Amino acid sequence: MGCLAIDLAEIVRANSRYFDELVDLIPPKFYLPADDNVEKQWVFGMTKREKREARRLTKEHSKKARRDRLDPEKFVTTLQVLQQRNEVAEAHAEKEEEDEEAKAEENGEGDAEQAPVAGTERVKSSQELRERLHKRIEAIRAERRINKARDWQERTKDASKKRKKSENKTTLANKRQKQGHKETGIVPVSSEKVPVASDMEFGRVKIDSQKRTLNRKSKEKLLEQATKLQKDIQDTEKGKDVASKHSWDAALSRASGQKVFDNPKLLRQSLKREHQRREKSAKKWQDRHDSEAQRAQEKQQTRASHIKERIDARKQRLIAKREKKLMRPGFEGRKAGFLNEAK
Amino acid sequence: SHETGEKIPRSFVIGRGKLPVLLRNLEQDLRKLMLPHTALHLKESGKNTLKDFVHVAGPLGVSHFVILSNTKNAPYMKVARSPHGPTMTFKVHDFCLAADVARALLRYRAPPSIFKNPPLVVLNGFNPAEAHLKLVTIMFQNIFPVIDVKKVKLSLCQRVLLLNYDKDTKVIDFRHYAISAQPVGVSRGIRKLVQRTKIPDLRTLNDVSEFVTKSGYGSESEAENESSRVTLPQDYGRGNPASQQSAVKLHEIGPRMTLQLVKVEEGLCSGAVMFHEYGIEENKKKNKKKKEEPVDDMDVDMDGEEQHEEEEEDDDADYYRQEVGEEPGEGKRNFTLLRQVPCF
Repeated sequence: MGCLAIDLAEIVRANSRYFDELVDLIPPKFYLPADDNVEKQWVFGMTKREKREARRLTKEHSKKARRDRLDPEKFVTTLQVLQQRNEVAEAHAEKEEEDEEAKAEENGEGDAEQAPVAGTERVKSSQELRERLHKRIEAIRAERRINKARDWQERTKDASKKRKKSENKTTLANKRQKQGHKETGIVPVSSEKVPVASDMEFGRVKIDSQKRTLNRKSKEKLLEQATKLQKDIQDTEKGKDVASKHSWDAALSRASGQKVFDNPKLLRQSLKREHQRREKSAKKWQDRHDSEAQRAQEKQQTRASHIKERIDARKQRLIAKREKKLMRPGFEGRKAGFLNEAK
Repeated sequence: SHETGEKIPRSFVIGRGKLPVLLRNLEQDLRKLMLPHTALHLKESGKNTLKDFVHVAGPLGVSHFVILSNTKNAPYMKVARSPHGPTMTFKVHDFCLAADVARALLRYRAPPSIFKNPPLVVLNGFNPAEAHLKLVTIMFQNIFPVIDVKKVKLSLCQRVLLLNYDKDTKVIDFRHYAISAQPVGVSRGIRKLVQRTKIPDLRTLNDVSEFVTKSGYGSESEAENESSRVTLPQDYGRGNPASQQSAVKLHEIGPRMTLQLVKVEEGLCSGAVMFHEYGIEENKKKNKKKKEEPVDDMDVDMDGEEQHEEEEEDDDADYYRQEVGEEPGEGKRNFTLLRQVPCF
């Protein structure tokens, strides 16, 4: 195919030239990564004098760089800068390889192994180094993210555990469940049963009392019981037995903290107090209820009167204003008409 | 309390009448014993009657009263439950202050931290078949808060109150101890190193190994009391970790008393007498009047009752016997002239 001979090389060359020109349009500051040769100085370890020196040097360098940038003779295109950098990097890489070879020779490795190793290492360029660095940074970042996520998960798990615990504490069913579980407390180890004399008693220990106040009789019922008890005591036949039995029972239960309602007088007082409290609050409510409509009406009245006052005041003001115009010297107010005028 | 959900019993320790210095010190010692649930610096003036205290006790949540009073015969201690509760009257045969105990012991140790938690109580010899003894046990068990066995911290149980009843003499021994635990099976030097905060003095030793071996293996008192060794379920202070053997030691602090239960009344220093040591019938007349006259002739009236004229007795000796409980003429003073002193 003669006339449609596609010269691949020519096409590639044209494309390459096009891209080069494009690259040349971009100033090197934006296209190329920052120069790696600039060492990052560790500012914290420097003395004041060193810091001052470093500052001065940077200032000088920046001035010089600006002059070079604007100097037409020293003008370098982006591509040229790129080429220069690549050359420098290669020279650097070669130097590194030589150093490594020297070290390897010291360690006693054979020459035969050097050749392939050297060959592969020569491929290193600044670009590759940069890529490796970026990869490492990314790897570290990823690790950090994973750790952070794990920590965060644990923290939320702890928080949810705590919440669950506090919820579990309150429910009675869970309490009953817990009794089945083994608890670490002061329950003594079963192998060591301390022999306790049968007469020994210890302080009060809590037993799970699930029935707390199932039977709470009303005060009226208690009053009935108390009066009945009094009557039984008055009854001469068995009165004494009943009295003594009751007094001991009452004393024992009072000593252990339970309330015993056996005095009818006190019960009646308490009932009366309760009754009076209820009455008082009912009366208060009734008064409030009654006076509500009245108060509402009063409020409306005052409101209406205030509005009316405002309107009247406004009218007065307007009248006064009109009259003011007629207060000319020599005249007082409106034309009153002639004295003789028929009315 | 938060743990048990029950109300914590609080107490007032007060003295009635003019108490001599020793009894005032005893009152202070009893207040320290009842800490932390008591009013340590309660101020009482001569004009306060029992009713005032009862009125104040309600809002403050005070449930028990311990009342000390003095008579020519002996001091008396009443333990009562606040609004309408039973009252037990004990006669104090002998007592001993905390300061006396401190002087008697070589190493008296009562650091203020042990008074931050209530004491445990142990009663021995109180036969529950007898109603008045049962009442005493229940009363003392309920003066101190309930212990939740599952949740309580062992290291907070640092004091114990011991009450021992001797049924022959009908006398109750009242003792107050501090509890400490010592690890078992280690030499004295190591035990001290573990338990104390002080750094040991190695000046006199040639080698560190001497520190371990010098004081011998095992302490001197390890041979005694196998029964005081326990395996701790929880940590108890320094050097006594959980599930290790430790020996429990008691150090006496606080007052000692020898008490005898004399009277049990239904109400707070009022009401019918349910039990009387010297018999209810013989002492029935005294139930209406004040049994013991106060030391000074001011009529300090605990029960809020009026002093009344003495009733006639057929026999002076009988009367004396009933009042005082011993034969006339045996006491240090001759009391037979008491009746002839007019009462105001």
